[in-house]
Amino acid sequence: MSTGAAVLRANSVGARSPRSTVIRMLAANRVAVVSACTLTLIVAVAVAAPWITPFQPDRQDLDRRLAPPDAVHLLGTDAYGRDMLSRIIVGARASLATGAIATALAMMVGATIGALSGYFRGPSDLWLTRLTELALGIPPLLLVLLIIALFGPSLRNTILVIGLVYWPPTARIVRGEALRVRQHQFVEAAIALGARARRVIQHHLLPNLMPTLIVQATLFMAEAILIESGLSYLGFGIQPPAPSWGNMLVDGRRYVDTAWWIATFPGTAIFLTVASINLIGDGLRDALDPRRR
Amino acid sequence: MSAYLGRRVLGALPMLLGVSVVLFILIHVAPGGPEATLLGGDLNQQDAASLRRSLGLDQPLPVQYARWLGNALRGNLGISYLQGTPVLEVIGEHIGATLQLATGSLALALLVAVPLGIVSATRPNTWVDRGATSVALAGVSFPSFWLGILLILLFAVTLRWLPASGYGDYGAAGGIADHLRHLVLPTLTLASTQIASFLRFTRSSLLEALAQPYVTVARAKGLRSARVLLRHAFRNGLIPLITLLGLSTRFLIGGAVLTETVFAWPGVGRLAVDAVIGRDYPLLLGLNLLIALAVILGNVLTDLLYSLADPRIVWQ
Repeated sequence: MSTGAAVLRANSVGARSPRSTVIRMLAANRVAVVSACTLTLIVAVAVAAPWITPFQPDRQDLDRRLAPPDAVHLLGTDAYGRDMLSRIIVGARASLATGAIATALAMMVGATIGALSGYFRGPSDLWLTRLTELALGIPPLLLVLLIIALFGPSLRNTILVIGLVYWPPTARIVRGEALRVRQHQFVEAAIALGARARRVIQHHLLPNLMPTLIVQATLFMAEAILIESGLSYLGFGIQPPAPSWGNMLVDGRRYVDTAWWIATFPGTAIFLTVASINLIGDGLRDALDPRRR
Repeated sequence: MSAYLGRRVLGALPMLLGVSVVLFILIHVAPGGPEATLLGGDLNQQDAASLRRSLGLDQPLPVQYARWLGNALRGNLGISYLQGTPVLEVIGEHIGATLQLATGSLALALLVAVPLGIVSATRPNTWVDRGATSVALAGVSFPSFWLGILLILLFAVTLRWLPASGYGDYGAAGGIADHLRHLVLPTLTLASTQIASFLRFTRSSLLEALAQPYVTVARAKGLRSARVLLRHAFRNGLIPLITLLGLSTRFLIGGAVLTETVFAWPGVGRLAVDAVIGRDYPLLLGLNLLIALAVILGNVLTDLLYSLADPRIVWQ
């Protein structure tokens, strides 16, 4: 809880605490509130998935292959006669897990490297710059594909690889912020008071970087879900018969002539989730940016 | 200027080396190899070993790398395992298709996003602006390959206006027109994400530029608002857009992988996926070298565009 307290201490210039200002601004942003409700609903559905699917997601009913939406199968069935709605509900788990865990990983790695190199500068900074340049030379999607092809596709590998490949943008942003925050007098004062680097970074640097990090994390979470869907579409992500929104779209493309519902609904699920997260991210950015208050 | 360009190209060499070393190590420390694909399902130890020997894969890693690098420096990127032809030839056959797709969608994205962004920034919070911002948000919120599938559903399956996939027959009578018809949907698909991000950037950087004092001064001098907008505000707002443009090389390549898969488009994106799956090491290394080169070229072009947009930026 000391981090939260530090945020308050570091920022409490105005009369109101910054946290309540942020919450108030978010609550006033109707789009952000609606998005937050949508996302909460999607998360709840994902958590409750085993209890609420109308059918077993992998139960095949070969008499009802490629059946259009009706009263029994609300979103139709796929090529094996499996219920689309049930598979979409279960598929939410893969997408949300990837979004949350891969983002946490990318943020932790990126923030640590960025904060260290921005604070200490010198050789570690040089290395970061070189590494980032190197990472920029390889399109991330190709690198992810390559690593997954080499080490085998699975949900765990997908999460790990997305988290470990996409940290450089975060590191860059955090480094820039760290360089800026380091110039402030309160950091100078802390150092003059004999604070060690670890303490300065933990108690002065990171709390000030939090707003940037939170926004960055939200926007990256949206991207991570899109990346996962692309990987699954290419056959490098969640492996069938386990359902994921991306791998369901493979059948959507294959049966596009006959079964529009397979092409439509999994994509709609991706869109709703990612758009909600993006809108929350935009709302957070507006609320956390002091210039917009 | 030429000195600057020379230095940029020289400075790129360590990066190219770095990329190839990273890939080389990555490829070779991973379990398995190209044997499984090349020899089919029933591979025995002996065949696999002799295949590895004939491909030079039994040598120590540094030796393999030195050999590859030596050949690469002489313009020989080796023979593709899967295709049995030189890597450069294989890439040459596929690069045209991707370049058409990439340039087409980049041009489309700029033509749609920049004017829309200007209109949107000059009339903030009107219905035009709200519409444009919503489009931009939507564009970054769905996977482009899904848009591709929806476009096929609408224009190929339902309306039957355009072909669902393929490259078209270039040589046949009316081949060009047929080819262009095949190009429409993939181009739209690849452009969608770009349109969204260009639009967001144009709008926000122009809004920022319009709030600057020099814009107020220009208006106070009595200049026409179109002139203020284009000569004063837009020109300064261009810099972030150019940065984004420079980064788009990487996004286009990533997007091309998915778009080419959806539309069975015979480009390097799809080729890269096949090379990854088949463990076609020479082709993989060659493709990545090419991509790294494209990224560097994009960066240099970005720098040149900077100084065109802002004469105060001089490269020497």
